[in-house]
Amino acid sequence: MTLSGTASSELITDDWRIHGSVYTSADVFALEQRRLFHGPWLYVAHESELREPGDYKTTFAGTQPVIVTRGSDDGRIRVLLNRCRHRGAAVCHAESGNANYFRCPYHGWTYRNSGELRGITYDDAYPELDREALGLVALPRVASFAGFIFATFADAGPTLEDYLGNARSYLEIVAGQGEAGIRLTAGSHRLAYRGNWKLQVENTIDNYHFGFVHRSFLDVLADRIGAAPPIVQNIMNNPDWRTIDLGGGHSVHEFGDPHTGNNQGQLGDLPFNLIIFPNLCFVGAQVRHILPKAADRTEVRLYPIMHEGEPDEANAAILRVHESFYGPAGMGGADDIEVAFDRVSDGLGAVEHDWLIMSRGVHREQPGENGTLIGHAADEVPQRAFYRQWKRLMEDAA
Amino acid sequence: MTAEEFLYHEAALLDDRRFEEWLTLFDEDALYWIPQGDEPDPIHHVSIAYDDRRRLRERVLRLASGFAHSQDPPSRTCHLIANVRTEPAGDEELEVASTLLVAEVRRNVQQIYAGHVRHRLIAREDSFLIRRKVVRLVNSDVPLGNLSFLI
Repeated sequence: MTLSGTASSELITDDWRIHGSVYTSADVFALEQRRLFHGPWLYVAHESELREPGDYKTTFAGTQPVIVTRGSDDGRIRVLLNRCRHRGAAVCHAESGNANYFRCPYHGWTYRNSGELRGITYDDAYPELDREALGLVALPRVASFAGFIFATFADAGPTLEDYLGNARSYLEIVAGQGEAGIRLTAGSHRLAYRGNWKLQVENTIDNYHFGFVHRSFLDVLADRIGAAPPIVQNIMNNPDWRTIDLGGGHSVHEFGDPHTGNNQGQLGDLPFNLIIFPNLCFVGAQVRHILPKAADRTEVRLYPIMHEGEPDEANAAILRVHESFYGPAGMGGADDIEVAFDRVSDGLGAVEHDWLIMSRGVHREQPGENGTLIGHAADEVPQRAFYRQWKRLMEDAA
Repeated sequence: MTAEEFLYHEAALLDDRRFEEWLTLFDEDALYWIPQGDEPDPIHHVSIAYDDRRRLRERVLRLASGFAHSQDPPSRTCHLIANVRTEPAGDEELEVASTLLVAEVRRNVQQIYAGHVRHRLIAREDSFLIRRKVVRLVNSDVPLGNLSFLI
């Protein structure tokens, strides 16, 4: 398959230049939807969002709208395409709730929350219709790890555990953040920007930018703590702060010990930033779900991680720290939107020389255990981890 | 100065980007809150902003730092305040409800933000201090972009 005459293998060079069309081309975006978002396991929800039978939330698997439901009868979690089998209307528009049935508003076709077609209005006009085959289309496999629910469009392939690989131990650490676990029950910040979804993935685990994009926040932090904030020195010089290519496109940036580390930036207390390929991130004290919409359009949801079994005041304090930096009015997040997405998207319009450089620290990547690659904190190890997998999947025969 | 005039004064300071002066309108125990969603609950639900006076001061400090990229160039705003209703709240305080329309222009794009605002004001000599300002944007729960200017 070629992309406007360019093979996807040529979009990333051996010396780690990345072609601008990776971020701007509608053809690349369409191919990503077939290769990255149709086969790999995709995050859809956390179990705390679907505690009771009948609970549901709407979200997206790639660009496709889905409903994640917990069956009223069997308690089983399913991921259903949010599309009436009759004439295509979305059967559920609420973000979350509890329902035994979804009734299409167009002509009244009704589905159980397990997906099964329950009723067709005035159905004598359909003598031949096979109702058994006309449930809401379910993604064939759904699985959960450490409370995080994933689904895939692929009937066969690796199990979720195999897919997550070296990232599993980090997800378990996230799940153990609260005294009695975690819950995503505080809603989410929602961001929209004109720019490619991968810019948000790259920026989430980019440490090189912190002292530049977040200079104004560092000034605030210096005022807050009455001293120079240690975060930039740690990023540039602390050998215990490391970036790791975990394999499979996943990556992590550890702030020292993965159980007890802290970014020392008053950004939230997760001991690392983590990317689960392709579009799930953990940063600060949040789960970040990146929703690609088009080559140049992205939405992002930031779910603050609440600690189960801890008092309201402790969780409210987590929210206040999160809001201080993240979200549309955050003192850091808004600068990421401005620089890492808007300015980059502006600059990518200059296609005369259409290459970016992603080779920072490639010469000093060191092999670690289980096939990992380890680099300095401000090196582009995580970005290369992502694009190694990106390239692998995009080059696979259709 | 009436409460209504005070709201216009506050809006003028914001539109003129006289943020340090704006900050002096707030009481030491003030709260500046932009909730998200229909049923705001700052303990159990994330807010767009939930600033005490200290955090509000940090926001102003950041905007003055010269390195706040999301406000370089700065937003040009026009705050329109209407439907002002005032009711007494205790001996020295007033609860003032208003509707707000902010046109914001930045980098060739105009955005419109609208919301219901409630000010809790403390009478001080011939003016007021803000004890609490709550801005309930009608689009608070849709995906937003750069909201780094002050509302």
